[in-house]
Amino acid sequence: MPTLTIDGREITVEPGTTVIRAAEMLGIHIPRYCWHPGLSIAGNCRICQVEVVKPKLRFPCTVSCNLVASDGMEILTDSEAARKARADVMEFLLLNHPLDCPICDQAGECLLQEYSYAVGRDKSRFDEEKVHKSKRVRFSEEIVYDGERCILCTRCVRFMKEVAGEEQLAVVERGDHAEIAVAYGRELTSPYSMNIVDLCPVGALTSADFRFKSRVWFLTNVPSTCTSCARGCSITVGARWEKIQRLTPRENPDVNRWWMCDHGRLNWKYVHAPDRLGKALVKDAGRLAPADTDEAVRRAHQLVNRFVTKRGADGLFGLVSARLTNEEIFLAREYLAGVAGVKNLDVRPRTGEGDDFLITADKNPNSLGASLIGIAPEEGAVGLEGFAEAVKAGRIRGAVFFGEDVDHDPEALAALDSLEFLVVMDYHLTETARKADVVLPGVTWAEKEGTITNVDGWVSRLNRAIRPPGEARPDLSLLGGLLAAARPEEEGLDRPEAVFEALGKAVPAFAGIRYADLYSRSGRVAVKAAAAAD
Amino acid sequence: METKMGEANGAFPPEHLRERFDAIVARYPRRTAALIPILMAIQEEYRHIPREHIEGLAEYLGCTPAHVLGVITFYTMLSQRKRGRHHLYVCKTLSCHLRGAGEVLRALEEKLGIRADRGEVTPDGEFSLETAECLGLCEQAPCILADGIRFGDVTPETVGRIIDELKSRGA
Repeated sequence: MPTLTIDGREITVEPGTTVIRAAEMLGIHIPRYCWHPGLSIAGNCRICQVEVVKPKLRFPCTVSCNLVASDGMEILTDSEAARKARADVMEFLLLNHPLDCPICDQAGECLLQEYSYAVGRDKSRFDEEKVHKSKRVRFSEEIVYDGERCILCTRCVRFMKEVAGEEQLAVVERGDHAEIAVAYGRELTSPYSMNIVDLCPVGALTSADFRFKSRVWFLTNVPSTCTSCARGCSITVGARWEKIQRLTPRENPDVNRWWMCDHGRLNWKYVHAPDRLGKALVKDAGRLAPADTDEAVRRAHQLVNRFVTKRGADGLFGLVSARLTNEEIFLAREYLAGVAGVKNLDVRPRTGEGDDFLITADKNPNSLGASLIGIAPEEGAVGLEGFAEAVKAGRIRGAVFFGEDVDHDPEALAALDSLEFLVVMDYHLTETARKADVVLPGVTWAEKEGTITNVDGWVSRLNRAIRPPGEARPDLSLLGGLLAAARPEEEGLDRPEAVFEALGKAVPAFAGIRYADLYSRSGRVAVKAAAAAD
Repeated sequence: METKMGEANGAFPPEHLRERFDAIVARYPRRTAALIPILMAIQEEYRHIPREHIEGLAEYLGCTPAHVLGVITFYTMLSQRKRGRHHLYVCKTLSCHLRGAGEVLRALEEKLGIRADRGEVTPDGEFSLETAECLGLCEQAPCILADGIRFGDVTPETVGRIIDELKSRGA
């Protein structure tokens, strides 16, 4: 294995490792535009030049993205020669660049700005008319291209070809006329197209959805996890004014590498929909009326408790959403199975199209968590499928829905009218919730903290990015309230970290994962890890 | 010999060219390798690359329309604008420039009544003009390349003869 020194620091690397990657391992950042760890090497932007002291080359500097480390190699990344080489590259890249940073969405996270700041000149020596190119070209409904800002690094072209598997972009024309384009009458159709917006190191590719919404430096960026399918891609939530402004993928080698799908990226509008619940609702004289949240929690427990005392738990049905966090599902099970003794427990499955990359057919983000924790009808018990019939037959007479609805199933929805009582916890007023006796105002993934278990057993964190509307509360706190009402003598349990710890003790699959470790990376549940090792 | 001008209607390969294209493809280990030779054949046939053929060609060779467009726009000998039956490249690189290529170009433009920088074609469809980078005939600067024939030591006075010669040879 070759040993080389970079800026005087020695490192031994696998044969074939490039200098830019070896530097990365040492924590040395070499500037790059065209190079990206998830794409093939193009070597066209030249900004990653370093000085090669040993072996002696004909020219002192060369690109580090395409330079394979060799034994005894000596590299300087920040010498005068290396800085000069990069400064020259910067001057060329900016010759025809419009320098429209004040109105450019990329400003603040632009690598042209970044490296100009490092090695750029304060004056342009170019006094001719700049070359003009295409502006505001729609590559798709969601992606806008600006040819004048483009530095032709071809990250987008390579992403479409190598990762999305659809070569829908090409460099057209030549020299200073070159631009990126789609074919005539075509647009980008890959469900992963919007990754090119993140990949673009400059302001050439922007998101139609996020354009001109906010300067990026005013966003609060919170690491979280996408809940649009069972993949659970790691994401960054960019929020401002207590509103989500954009979601972007966050690097996670175990789950989604650098990518996410367009659907997940754009699927957050419902968080700010007008039907959000900002207050608890309690049925009073046949009508739902706003109520104090603590009062509603007490009332909900009273309904469950009275029913179980009078009729026993066999007539009670519990629907627990596989969209809830591991902690919430665990407390929901503690309450329904542990306290009330409910055996009729189920989740509502959600399926759709999946592919062989990131998008899973399972659209519930936490199906595996729900099944590991044990949300499923016991042998002979009533599940969601038999729910409507069991209500008709008088076998089920009361129901508790945590984070879930049956709006998709007219028969089940109609069956709710025959129940003696219905408690619903949800973040918005569903048709199901309208039929409830008590509606507890929960929140969405963006307003709470917790963990979800993805399809491969990776456990990732949700973190609170924005404030919940009105008096809505994280579901875990509502569930903790129910448990506290049931077991007033015990210490309350509603902090995610404490619940996760309790979960690890109760469900062996989760033992060994430390909650605090999950802040920016994922931990894997034991069963899946064992299955993968087989 | 007058080539029959097939009309580009989008069906690919056009019936009268199928055999020729299949033969080109057969020369290469991968279908996509035939892209440039086939584009040149299309250019020869239609005097440009008709836009309607891009999708069909991509499908025929197993690549994407974006890839085909990238190749078409990269090479100057492939044109998306229809050229004249005789297309003249006037060299404008250093040797020719110093030896009066500018005057030669102006004389041609005047004689034919078309502009090179606008990609114009004479109304009868016979001639079009284009400036070119070095044609490799510096010792005979200024030079012109037309219909595959090199013309050296051209002067504004001799451009008329070149046009006559091209006309007499037909297309």
